[in-house]
Amino acid sequence: MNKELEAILPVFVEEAHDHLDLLDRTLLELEKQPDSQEHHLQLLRSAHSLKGAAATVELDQLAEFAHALEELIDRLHRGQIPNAGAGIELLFQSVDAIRADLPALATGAGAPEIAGMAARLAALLGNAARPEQALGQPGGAAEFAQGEYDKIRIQALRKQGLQVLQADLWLPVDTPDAPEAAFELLRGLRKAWSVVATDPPEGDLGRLDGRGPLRVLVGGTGTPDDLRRELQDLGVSRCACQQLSAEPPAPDRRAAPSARSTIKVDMERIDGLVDLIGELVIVESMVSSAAELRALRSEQLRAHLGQLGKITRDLQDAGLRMRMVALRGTFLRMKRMVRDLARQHGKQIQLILAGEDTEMDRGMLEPIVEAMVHLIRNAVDHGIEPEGERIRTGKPRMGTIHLSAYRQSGGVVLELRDDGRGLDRGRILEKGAELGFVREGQSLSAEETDALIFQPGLSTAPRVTEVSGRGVGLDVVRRGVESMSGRIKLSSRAGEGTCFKLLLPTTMSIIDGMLVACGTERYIIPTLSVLESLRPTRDMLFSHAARYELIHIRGETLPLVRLAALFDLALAPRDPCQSLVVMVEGMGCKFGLLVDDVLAQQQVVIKSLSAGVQQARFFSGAAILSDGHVGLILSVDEIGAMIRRGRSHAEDRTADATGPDQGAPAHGEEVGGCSHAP
Amino acid sequence: MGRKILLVDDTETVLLFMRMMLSTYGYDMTTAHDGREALAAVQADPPDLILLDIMMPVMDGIECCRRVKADPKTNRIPIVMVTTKGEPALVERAFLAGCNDYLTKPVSKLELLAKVRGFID
Repeated sequence: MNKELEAILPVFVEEAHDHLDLLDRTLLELEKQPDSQEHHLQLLRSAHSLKGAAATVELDQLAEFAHALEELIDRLHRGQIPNAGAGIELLFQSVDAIRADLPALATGAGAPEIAGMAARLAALLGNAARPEQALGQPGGAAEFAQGEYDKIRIQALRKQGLQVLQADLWLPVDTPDAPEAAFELLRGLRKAWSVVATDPPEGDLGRLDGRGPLRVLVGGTGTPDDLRRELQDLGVSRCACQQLSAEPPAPDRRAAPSARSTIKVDMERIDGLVDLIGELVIVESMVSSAAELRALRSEQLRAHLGQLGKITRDLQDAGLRMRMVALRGTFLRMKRMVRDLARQHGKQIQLILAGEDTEMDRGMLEPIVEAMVHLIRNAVDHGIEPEGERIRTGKPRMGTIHLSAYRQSGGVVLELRDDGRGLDRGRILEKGAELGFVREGQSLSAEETDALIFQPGLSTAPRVTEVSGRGVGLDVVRRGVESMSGRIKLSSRAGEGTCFKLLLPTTMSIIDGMLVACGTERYIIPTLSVLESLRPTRDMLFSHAARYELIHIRGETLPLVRLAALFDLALAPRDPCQSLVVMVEGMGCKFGLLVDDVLAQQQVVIKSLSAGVQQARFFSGAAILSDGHVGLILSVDEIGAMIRRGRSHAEDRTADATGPDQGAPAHGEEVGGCSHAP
Repeated sequence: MGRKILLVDDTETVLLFMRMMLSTYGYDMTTAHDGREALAAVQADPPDLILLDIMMPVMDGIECCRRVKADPKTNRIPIVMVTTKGEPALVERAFLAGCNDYLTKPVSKLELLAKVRGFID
């Protein structure tokens, strides 16, 4: 493959994925309405576009395969495939085969999946390629008209009542550059005639070293004499013109219509732009809040700075919007997956989608897909009961999974709800105790019990199936969601089903955070995790067994974590009543964070932490604050997980310590379990 | 001012390919992704040549060609249909719609350039 094609290849691969997604989507629709003309046409168009693009980048094997797909779709459309269901299934598998082989194709490697499918397609299509329209010879001396559609073109000219003529001509004696002169001649000739073919062909006029002969096949309203006169006017020194005889025309097929007005830009470029905008936002707020400038007391400067601030924020919004894509494509992939999984399990399951137009940061799509795949597999395997059981319990035979997305308080909620049997809390507790997540005598609320399923290794599947139940899964989902600074809410009712809510920010590059102070340190708590903040009164606070600090709020007694203690800040212990408590929720555990002050609620641009800081896993990232200082973003889920495990944070840190700088904790304080106070 | 070519195709791969192939020859190239976009581009700034794909969403190349050729203000703009192998019926309709010539994908650089030069300087 040459350099130019290599440069196009990434564009092709991305585009090919779009076509494959559209094929998948349309196939799903077609399955529901097998007679839909519109869906057949859409399939044809997608396969066709894929073929054209593949041929352009010289992936001939793929182009041929796409052609076979077109053939199959066309035959399905015409009702020539006896078992339409099998035909559609074959198309589904073909789409998968292309998807599987694309990475290899892009690197010039072979395409084993496609090769295998191609053989199956050929078998189904009976090897008898589409009977090409029998084309009569145009007759006469025009056998050099060898182009793909030259003959059809001749027929079309005749249908329009035009004459088809052939001219053998010689360029003038003094022609210095024959190919150049030939181009000029053709341009002149085209003013009144349609040029069908030339010999040598146009792409090879360089072969014309002398003056000729150059053969030209044209269509038009004139006679051979008219053509001769015209050629002579164009400077041809000698020519012979003749008319070609007529023959019959060919029949008709197919048409096309859908919408799009986009350009494709490399993700890296957009990321670069968004990064720069992030820096700009910070510098802008540094400049705008600079005391030196405010000291100038210039009304005009103030107005200009205000304008700069507004434009900067608008620019930030615009930059982020560029990275946003609708969830539609991702959702439809899930639809396909549910269909396949349900078949594997012999269950009837429908997936109902809502809010597919909700937009999210493109960089989050992959982790979201991973999380959804796990959750859907779980729902199909463990959630939705086998048909017999559903009928016995008076449920509809067909199980339903709802997947919806909607915006909520600046973020996006992805909701996955099934109407299955719900979580088996007894089993979970049993398993949790077995794995040491629940201690002797510890009593957990329903919510806390449910949250256990996000612990590593905890699977209640009675058997390991092909689909799920390997004991990996939900903790991976939790980590994935956390890595996006999101959190999971889980609710389940025995016999009625389970609902996972993924609360996510719309973007990963910016987080809406609550800026809190602890001594001279600044921390950011993701707003998505914050329930409320309050100044505690004496009667709300108490400690239990001199070990746990607890806060009593709205009838609940919840653990209280002193940030200063958690991070070993060398601060004099403060009276909590002089501090603030930020109530947060992470890992199904509500708790309070004791901080000195809540400074602001602001959007910060997230920077990932370098490896050296990573050991502090209570942080999910860092942000540069508007005063130029760095603030660490708290991982509320990690803190919640630590509380749940009920291990002292000292133990926890020793277990994670990777560097020699881990001194003994200043306070040997333990943080209590998430249980209710007696 | 270079001669203006309007490239119309619903796949970015093909558009990029054609732009790269023609880029060093000083043509002034614009692109459109479907027939309707192409018509709008033709109305806004008539090109000297249109390279037009056939199967496209919204409005296919054949309808686009028919409309360009039906409008006395634009019917002199040459249209070269960019076709794919194995669609004789469609291509015939394109010819009947008045296109001036055709190319077949995959288009080689030489063919593309020759066809363009056979229509414009």
